[in-house]
Amino acid sequence: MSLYPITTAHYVILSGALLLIGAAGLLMRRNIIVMLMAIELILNAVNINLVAFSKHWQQVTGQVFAIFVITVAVAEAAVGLGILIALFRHRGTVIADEIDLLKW
Amino acid sequence: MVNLVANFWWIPLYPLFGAAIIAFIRRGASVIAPLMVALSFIHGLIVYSSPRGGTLDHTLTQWMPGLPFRFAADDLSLLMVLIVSGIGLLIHIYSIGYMAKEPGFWRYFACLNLFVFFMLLLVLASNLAVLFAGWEGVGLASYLLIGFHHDRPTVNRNANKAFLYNRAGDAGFLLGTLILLSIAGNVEFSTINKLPASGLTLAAALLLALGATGKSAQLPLFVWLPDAMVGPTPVSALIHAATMVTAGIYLFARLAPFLAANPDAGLVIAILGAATSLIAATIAAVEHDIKRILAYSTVSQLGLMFLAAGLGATEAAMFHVTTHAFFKALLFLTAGNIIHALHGEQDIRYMGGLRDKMPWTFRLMTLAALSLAGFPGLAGFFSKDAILVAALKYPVFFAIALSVSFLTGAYSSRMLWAVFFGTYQRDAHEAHGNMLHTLWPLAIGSALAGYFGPHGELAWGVMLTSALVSLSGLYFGRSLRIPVVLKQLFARRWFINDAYEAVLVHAVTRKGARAANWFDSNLVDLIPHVPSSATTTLGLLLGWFDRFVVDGLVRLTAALFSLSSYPLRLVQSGRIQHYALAMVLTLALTLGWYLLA
Repeated sequence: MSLYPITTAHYVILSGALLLIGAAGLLMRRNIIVMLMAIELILNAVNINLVAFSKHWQQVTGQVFAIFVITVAVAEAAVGLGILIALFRHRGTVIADEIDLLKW
Repeated sequence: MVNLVANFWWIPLYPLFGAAIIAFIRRGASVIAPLMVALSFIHGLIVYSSPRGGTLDHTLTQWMPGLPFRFAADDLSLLMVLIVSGIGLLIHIYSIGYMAKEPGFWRYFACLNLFVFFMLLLVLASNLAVLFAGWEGVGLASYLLIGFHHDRPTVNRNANKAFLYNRAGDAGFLLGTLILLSIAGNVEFSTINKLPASGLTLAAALLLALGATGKSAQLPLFVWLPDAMVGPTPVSALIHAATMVTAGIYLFARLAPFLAANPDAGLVIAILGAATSLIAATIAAVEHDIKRILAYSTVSQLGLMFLAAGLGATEAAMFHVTTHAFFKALLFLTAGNIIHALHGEQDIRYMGGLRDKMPWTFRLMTLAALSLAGFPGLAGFFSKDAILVAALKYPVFFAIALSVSFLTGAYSSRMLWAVFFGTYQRDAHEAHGNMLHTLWPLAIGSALAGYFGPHGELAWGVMLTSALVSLSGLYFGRSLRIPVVLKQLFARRWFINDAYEAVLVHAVTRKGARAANWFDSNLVDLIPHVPSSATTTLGLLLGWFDRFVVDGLVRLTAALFSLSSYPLRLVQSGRIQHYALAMVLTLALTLGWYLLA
C-alpha cells in the first residue's frame, strides 16, 4: 500500500493506530493524568475517523459531529482535572492503584 | 331556743371548731381559742346546774357493730367537764400573755383547743371505744404541745418519749377494751359495770389499769411526765391540772363498780399508786428544776389518787383530782411567771429572794404550795384527808400515804424557801395583766374547794395526824438533810429511767435493731430474693437462647449470603484500570465476534 495519494484508508489506519495507542495507555499507565491524556488520544482517533469519512462521503455531518466531540472532550478534561485536583488534595496521590476504595 | 341540756354533746365541739378555725385562718387565736373553751364551760355549767333526771345520753352514729358513737353525761362527767373547761379556760387566757412573743402563736392555741376537745370527748364518752378516741387524742395533743419548741435540743426526743410511753399504756387499754368487747358484746360503761367477775374481767381490768398508768404517769410508765416539762409552762399546767393525767383517775371513777367486782385489780392499782407516790415524792425532794419538782409532785399526788381509787374510794380520788386541779394549775402558772420573769431560768438554785420582787406571785404560790402540802383548812388538806381515811384499813398504805404527806410538805417548803427567800440572784419583775389576774379563781379554788367535797363523818384522829404530819413536813422542809446514799438514789430517780433507757432504748433499739436487721436481711429478704433470682436465671437462659439461637439463625443467613457473594466480590477490585480493561476487552470481543460472524 503506497503512501501516495493519501486515501481514506490511510486515515482509518491512523485512527486505528491512535485508538490502540490510547487504549494501551489507558490500561497500562498508572498515573491518572496520563490516563486522561490517553482518553484524549482515543477521542481524537474517533475525530480523525469522523472527519475522514465526512470527506469520503462528501457529507458535512461527520465534521459537525467531530466539533461536538471536541467540545465534549474539553468539558470532560475540565471536569476530570477538577476531580483530580480535589482527589490529590484529599488523598495526596494521583496513582490509580492507590485509589481503590470504591469496591464491594 | 335550742335545748342545751339535751344537746350536751355540743360541749366538746366548740374547741374542736376553734382548733379548726385557728388552724385555717391562722390569726385571731387569742380571741377564738379562749372564747371556744368559755362556750364549753358555760354550756357545761348550764347542763350541770339544770335538773337532768339520771344520765343523759346521745347517740351520734353507729360507729361499728356494738360500738355506737355515744355520749353520756352524769354528775361525774360534768364535774370533769367543768374542771377541764374551767381550768382550761384560765390557762388559755394566761397563755395569751405567756406566749405573746412566741412564733407559732396560732399553732399553740390550735393544739391547746384540740387538747381540750379530746379531753372533753374523753369525759363525755358513753363507752370505752369513744373514751379511747379521746384517750388517744389527748396523747396526740400532748405530743404536739410538749414538742412545741421543736427547734430546741432534746425537745423532740422528750415529746417522742411521752408519746411512746403513752402508746405502751394505750396498747394495754386497747387489749382490755377488746377483751371486754368479746365478753359483753359492747363496751358501754353501764354494761361493763354489771359484768360478773371472772379471770378474763380481771385481766381486762389490769390491762385498763396499765393504760391508766401510762396516761396518768404511774409506775411502771411514769418517766415521761417529768421529761414532758420541756413544753411551754401553761401546757404543763394543762396536762397536770385539767387534762391528760386525770384521765386515768376518771377511768377508775367511771368503772368503779367494775373495779369493785375485781378487787384484785384494785389492789394492784393501789400498790402501784402507793409505790409511785412514795418514789415520786422522794425524787421531788432532791430535784432542782422547779418544773420537775412540780411534775414529780403531780406524779406523787396521782399516786395517792390511784391508791384511793384502787381501794374503792373513787369519791376521794375524784375529790383530790378537783382540788389538785386548782392548786397544781396555780403552782404551774406561778412557776410560769417566775420562769418568764427570769427569762427561762428553771433551776431553783439560781433563784432566791423573789419575795420582794414578785409579791403577788409569792403569795399565790405559797397558798398553792400550802394547799398541796395539806395545810389545815386549805383545799388539799380535805381531799388528802379523804384519801387517808380510805387507806386507814390498810396500815401499810396508811403509813405510805402519811410519809408522802410529810414529803409533800417537805418539798413544798424547800421549793418556797429556795425561790422566794435568801439573797437576790437575778433581776425580776412582777407579772401583770393576764398572767396575774387569771390566777385569782385558781387561788380561791385552792383555798376553798375543800369545803365542797363529799364529806363523810369527820375522822378527827386522821385529820389531826395528817395536819401534824403536813406541818412537820413544812417545818423540816427548809433544812431537810437526806443521807448522801439516799440522796444519790433519789437524784438518779431510783434508776428507773436509767433502767428503761438501758433496757428499752439500748437493748431493744440497738440489739433489737440488729436482730431485726438480721431477720430482715436474711429472712424477709428471701421473699424478694427468691423470685428475683428466679427471674435473673430465667433472664440469663432467655438471653442465651436469644443470643445463640435466634441471633444465630440471623447470622447464619447473613454468613451464607456473605459466603456466596465472595467470588463475585473479587470482581469489584476498586481499581479503575481493571474496569477499563473489562470494557476494552468486552468491546474488542463484541467487535471481533461481529467481524468474524
